[in-house]
Amino acid sequence: MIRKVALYAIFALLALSCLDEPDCYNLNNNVIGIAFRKIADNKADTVAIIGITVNGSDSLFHETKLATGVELPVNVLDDEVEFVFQLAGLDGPITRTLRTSYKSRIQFVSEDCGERFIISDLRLEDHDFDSVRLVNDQPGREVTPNYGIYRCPITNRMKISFRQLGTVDSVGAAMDVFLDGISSDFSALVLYPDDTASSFLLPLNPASTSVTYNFDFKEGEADLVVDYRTVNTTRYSVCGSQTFFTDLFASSAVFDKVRVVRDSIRDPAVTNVLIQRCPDTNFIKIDFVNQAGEAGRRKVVALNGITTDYSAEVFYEDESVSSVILPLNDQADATRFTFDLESGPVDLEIAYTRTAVTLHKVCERFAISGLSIVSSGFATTPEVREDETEFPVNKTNIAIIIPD
Amino acid sequence: MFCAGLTVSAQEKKKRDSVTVRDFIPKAIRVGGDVVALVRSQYEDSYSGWEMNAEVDIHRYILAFETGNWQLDLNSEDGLYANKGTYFRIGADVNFIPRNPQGNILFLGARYGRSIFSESLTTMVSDPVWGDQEVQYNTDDANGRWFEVTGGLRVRLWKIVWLGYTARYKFGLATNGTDTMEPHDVPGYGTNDSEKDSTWGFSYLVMIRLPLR
Repeated sequence: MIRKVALYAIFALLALSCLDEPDCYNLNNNVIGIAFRKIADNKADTVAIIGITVNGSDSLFHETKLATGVELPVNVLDDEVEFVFQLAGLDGPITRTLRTSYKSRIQFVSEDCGERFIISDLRLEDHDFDSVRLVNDQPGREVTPNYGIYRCPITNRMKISFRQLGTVDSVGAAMDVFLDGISSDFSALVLYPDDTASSFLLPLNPASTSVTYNFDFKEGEADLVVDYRTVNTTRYSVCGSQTFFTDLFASSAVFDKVRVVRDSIRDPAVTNVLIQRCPDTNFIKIDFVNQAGEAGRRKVVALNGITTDYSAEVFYEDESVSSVILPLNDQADATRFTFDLESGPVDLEIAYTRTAVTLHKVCERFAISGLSIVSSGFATTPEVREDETEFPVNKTNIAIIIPD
Repeated sequence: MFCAGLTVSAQEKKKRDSVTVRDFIPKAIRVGGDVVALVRSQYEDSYSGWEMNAEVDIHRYILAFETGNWQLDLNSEDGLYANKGTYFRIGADVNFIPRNPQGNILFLGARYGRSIFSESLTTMVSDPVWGDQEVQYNTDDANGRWFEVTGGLRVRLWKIVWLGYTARYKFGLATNGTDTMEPHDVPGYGTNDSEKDSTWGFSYLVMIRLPLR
């Protein structure tokens, strides 16, 4: 009995061991992981990479990407590699290098898999980053960080954000602006040329206590003046003495409203200055519906264009729409719109009451209410559904009935 | 009569317990060879080797000495691998059926193994970044050591002819002289999978038992 059990046990183990054939996938461990981190809080740092090259190869790795870490190969037939990082800085590309040595050993795996290379004993030889730490000297088959690249805090980068205020919304929604560029009074560099975004990082001048930025928009220019206080101190020994900026104060004669929401610089940058645009209170929303009343469904109408009696501008030219948003004349108590339909032009005159208001303390506007139809060329008189305007425009003010 | 009966009973009891008397004078020596190695040499083109075994029975213990030699010649798609080496193992087993009437043995034991070997590998390294390159690596006079937990059977087949097998769980491989090349196969140990740190082995033995007293 004992003999039988022993025999079966041994042969079962042998059978199991035969099943354990090597896996040919991803045999080498010649890829090392690099994590970008911030010295200040040891948290991941997002780096704008233009590209990374390695000596002995013309390959470009991680071209144009934002990353908190990268994976880079080492030459299995060599014992040292130098990585050259091209990074995007606010003032232009930055080049940094990291040189590491390692031990490379070959091992024959099997007739099916061939050989593999085992990389070990990573050692940091040289670098010109702020700080680099060897975290793990043994690359794995699944890439984990071997090096941590730490950077000193960026102390001079202010963030501004553009916002569109609402009638009642005092913070506003992010608003894209279209730029030819942003220049400052202390640098010849033009930042963000031909760019469109709702927020921008701008450098402060450590040699002064004030900077004037010029925003060159597609539709005009505007200046923003930022005043501040500087303090020189050493917070991290590897970073040396750094200039920190506090007590930010922003002003502009052109922008509707400028608010400092955080008066010191953070890294990563958080919005310091909000540039807010006042709401347009004279917009109404007109829907095209197939019948009067709540049962009416919106229908698409082909337009050659819509014109007003106070402007030469043509709205919705050659468009098919079921709803339009149009500006009332806030300098008059009535506006006449001409809808150039496929069947011919049709007029609609709307009267309203204007009341002067100051929104968000700085926005001198007219609150528009009491919308009414003065005259209409449509077969059925349009319905007034909401007789007050609001911004942003969400509710339907007028419904034009065009039967199917 | 009663007292005589007691005396006989005491004598029988003493006789039954006689196995507990420790007798450390070697009883016999078994020598033989590993059939697995011979069969593999015959039928596997890539393998050539032999293994000899010697065992000494002392009480319920078995002193074991094993020595052998093997070489491999393997071909992958782009490479040629070869190794060659000599090894020995020493150790001891414990027989768990010492009172078996036929003297058969069921044992567990341990071994310490050492190997002296060489390896060579010629291959084409294909790298998408640094290009293709043919390389040759050689390891001469490398050595390794390891440990084994063993278990198996020895069965008397006919007169002095014995059969048996030994299953081996091998672990703790350490090598020297392998700076540029991680061993693929260490003679006596087997395939070196650095991610498992252990392997299995099996010997099927034909032996001759020579009584020593």
